[in-house]
Amino acid sequence: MRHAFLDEHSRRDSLLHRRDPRAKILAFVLLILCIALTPAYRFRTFGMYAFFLAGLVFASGIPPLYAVRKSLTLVPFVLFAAFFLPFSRRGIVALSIPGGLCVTYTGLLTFWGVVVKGYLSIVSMILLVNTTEFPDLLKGFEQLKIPRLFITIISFMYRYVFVIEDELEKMTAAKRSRTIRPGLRLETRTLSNMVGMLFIRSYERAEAVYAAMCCRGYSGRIHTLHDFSLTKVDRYFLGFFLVIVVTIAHSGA
Amino acid sequence: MHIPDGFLTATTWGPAWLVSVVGLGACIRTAAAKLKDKMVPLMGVMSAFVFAAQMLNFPVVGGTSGHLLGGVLAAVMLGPWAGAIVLAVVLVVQCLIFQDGGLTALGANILNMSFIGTLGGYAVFAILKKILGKKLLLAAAAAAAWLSVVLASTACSLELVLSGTAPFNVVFPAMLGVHVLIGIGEAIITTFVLSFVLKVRPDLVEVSHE
Repeated sequence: MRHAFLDEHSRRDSLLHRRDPRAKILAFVLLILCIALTPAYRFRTFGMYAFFLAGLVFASGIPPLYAVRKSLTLVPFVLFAAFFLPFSRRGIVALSIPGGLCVTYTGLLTFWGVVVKGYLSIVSMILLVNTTEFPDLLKGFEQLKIPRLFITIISFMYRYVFVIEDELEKMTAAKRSRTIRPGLRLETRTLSNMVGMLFIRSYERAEAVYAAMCCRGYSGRIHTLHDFSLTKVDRYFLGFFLVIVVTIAHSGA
Repeated sequence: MHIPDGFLTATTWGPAWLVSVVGLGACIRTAAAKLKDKMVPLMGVMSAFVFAAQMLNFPVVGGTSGHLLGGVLAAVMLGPWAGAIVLAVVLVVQCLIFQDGGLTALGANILNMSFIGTLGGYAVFAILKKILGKKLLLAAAAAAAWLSVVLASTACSLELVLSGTAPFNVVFPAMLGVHVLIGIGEAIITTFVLSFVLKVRPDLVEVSHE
């Protein structure tokens, strides 16, 4: 079934794709932190971050349209933030809305800051996830000393989420072919039974997986065959990335 | 309720991250002591289950639809610590793969939905179960599920207020108003799912072991 909704472009090949996951994680986490700590009024700094990110998108070979479409997940939150805009009352009034509400410049600045930071961070995450295969990303996190147990649980989840999704799709198809005119009550009941059934099947699957692992000598540790190695290019990449981000962060200060 | 990056200031997301990391560590230790080496496959597959269940939309009044948070459901069926871990894993994956919730805000999102929503919701369930008795188990679960959504959204709006993103007197009524309604859906689905599983495979439900 179609599962391309996850890290669609992570198996391409580009300069960015070939970098060591650890270098990429460190680089992008630093970038996101710098973006988060930039004051909202530094318009030029945000512009330069945007320019840098756009350059990275082109260098990575991810279709720009895909990145734009994916980054639209922010839209509901933008609307949410915009909703509160007229109510931040302090400051100089920029625009009056009939009904006694007014948009202030401080309100507008808060709104701008929230939206631009949210957007740039989302683009950064899209870049990180779409240039690194998810298992490699997890392994990178593990080698950066995130507790192994937690990472292993996530990697198991990633392994089985497709199986469970398939199961759910089959159940949905079966339900659709049997319900002719669903009412709200019936619909809720059926959906709940589906979720309940899915729980039981998932649990049984987990037991089976565990039994199979025990048969193969599992004792609480997962062994993998290849380890990453930081090459010279990876080090240069990380250094280059850090220099650019820090330069941007200090510009316009 | 997944807060993106930029909506919280460092003074809010920093402490939230700290609380989440420490809390999650405690949850993992407690659950691992009980589940031993079964922990990884069980938690992994169950996280996949919650992830899939959250993708199912159910109809809410007025033609809109909502989806399950599943915190109380997971806690009642798997135990509170395991439930909190499962929710946290789902949040991490949603943040990494779907950019659903920001990286800096991930700590706050885990705090809201995995600790306040799931552990807090389970605490409410445990207290209500004691008061109402075992016969009204489902009623206790329904009330806890509703309250867990309301509590999580309250924490979320509190963080937004602390960050200066939204003023208190507006964000509270708005967030609560919406989530009081969403919580009803959560309560109904949680009750139905729980009653179904209790009928079909009661041995799988953590609560029925007591």
